[in-house]
Amino acid sequence: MAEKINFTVNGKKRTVEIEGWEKLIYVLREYLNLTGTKRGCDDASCGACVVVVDGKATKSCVYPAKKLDGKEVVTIEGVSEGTNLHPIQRALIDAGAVQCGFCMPGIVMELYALFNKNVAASREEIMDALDKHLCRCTGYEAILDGALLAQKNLKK
Amino acid sequence: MKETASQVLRVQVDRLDYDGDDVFVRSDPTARVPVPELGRGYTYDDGQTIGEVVHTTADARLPRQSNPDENGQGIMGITYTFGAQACELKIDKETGEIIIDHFASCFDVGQVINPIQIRGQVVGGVMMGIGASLYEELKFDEDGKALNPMFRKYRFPTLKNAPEKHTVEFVETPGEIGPFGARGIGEHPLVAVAPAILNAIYDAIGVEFYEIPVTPEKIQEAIENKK
Repeated sequence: MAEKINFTVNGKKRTVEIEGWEKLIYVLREYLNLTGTKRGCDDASCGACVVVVDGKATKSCVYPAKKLDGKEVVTIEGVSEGTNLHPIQRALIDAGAVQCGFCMPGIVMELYALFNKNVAASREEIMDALDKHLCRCTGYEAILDGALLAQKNLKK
Repeated sequence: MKETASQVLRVQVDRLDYDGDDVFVRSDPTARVPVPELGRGYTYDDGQTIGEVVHTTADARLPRQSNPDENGQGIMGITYTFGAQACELKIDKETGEIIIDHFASCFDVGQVINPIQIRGQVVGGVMMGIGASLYEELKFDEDGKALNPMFRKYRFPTLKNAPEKHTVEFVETPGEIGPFGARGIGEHPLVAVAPAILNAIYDAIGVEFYEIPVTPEKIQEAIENKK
C-alpha cells in the first residue's frame, strides 16, 4: 500500500513514496542514495546506522519509515560543508579514531546529537553514548580521545 | 597473439613485431592491432571470433625465502616482528566479572612510520584479543544452527569493555626488506592477549583455564570448585 511521506533531510524537503515496510535506513540508502549511513547489523546492535531525527540520535535500521512524516533528519552527508569538515569529524581524524571508517558515520552523528543538545556533556554521558557503537579496528581508545577533543574544540 | 594478428592483418607471422601495446607489421607500422583486441582472440564486426585466448603466468620470490630443508627448517616468513604483552586485571569474586586495569604491549616494529596509526593497530588488536578471551562465542545447536548470531548476544566487546589503560611501546631494530626497515604489525597485537589474560587470571585466583572465552559464569564456577 504505497504512501507518500514528506520530511526534511539535511535541510532539504523531500517527498518519498514508500510501500510501508521500509525502515529509515532503506529510504536513505536506496531511495535517496545517501549511502554514507552504514548497515552493520540490521538488528540495532552496532550503531553504524545512527542518524539524527528531530535532534535525537536514532538507529535508522529499526526506525520505521512510516513515522518519518514531518520529521527533520540529519545524516553524515549533512554535517560537513563541502570539503570543510565539521569539528567533530576533524577531531576524530586528528585523534587517530578513523581506521577503516565503517563505524564513523554513526559515531559522528551520535556525537553531533549529543553536543548539539549539551556541549558540556560529562565524560560519563559521552561514554554512555559511544558505548552503543561497535568498532573492530580501534579498540575505542582513540574514539573516546577524539570525542573529548571534539568537545574541547566545540566549546571554544 | 601474433598468430591471431597475422590472420587479421593478412600477413605472415614472421613479419610481425610486438611493442608491448600492439602487434604490428614490421615494414608498415601503421598496420597494427592492439592487445585488448587480441587477448581473447579477435572478434570481427559480424561477431565471428578467431584465434586462441592468451595464457600468461607470473611468479615472484621474496629475497632470502627458502623451502624447508630435511629438518623442516628454512626462512618461510621474510621478516619477523617480536613482542611481549602483559595484563593487569581484577576479578569481582561475587559476580566473576573480569576488569582489565592495564594492558601493556611492546613490539619491535623495525621503524615506526605513523605513530598514531601504529598505536591504533596495537590497541585495536588487543581489543580483538580481549573480545575473544572474555566475551565472544558463537553457539550452535546439535543441527549446526547458530543460536546467537547477533552482535549484542555473541557478544562483541564495547567501549566500556576496553582496558582502563593501554601502554604501547616500540623497539626499532630495522628489518631487512620493509620500507625504512619497517616490520609488520597488523596481526601481532592479537597473538599474546589471551595467554596474558589467562595467566593473569591464574595469578589472581589460582585457576588455569585452557579454553576461551572465560566468562563470569566460568570464573564463578571455578571459584566455587576451589572452595
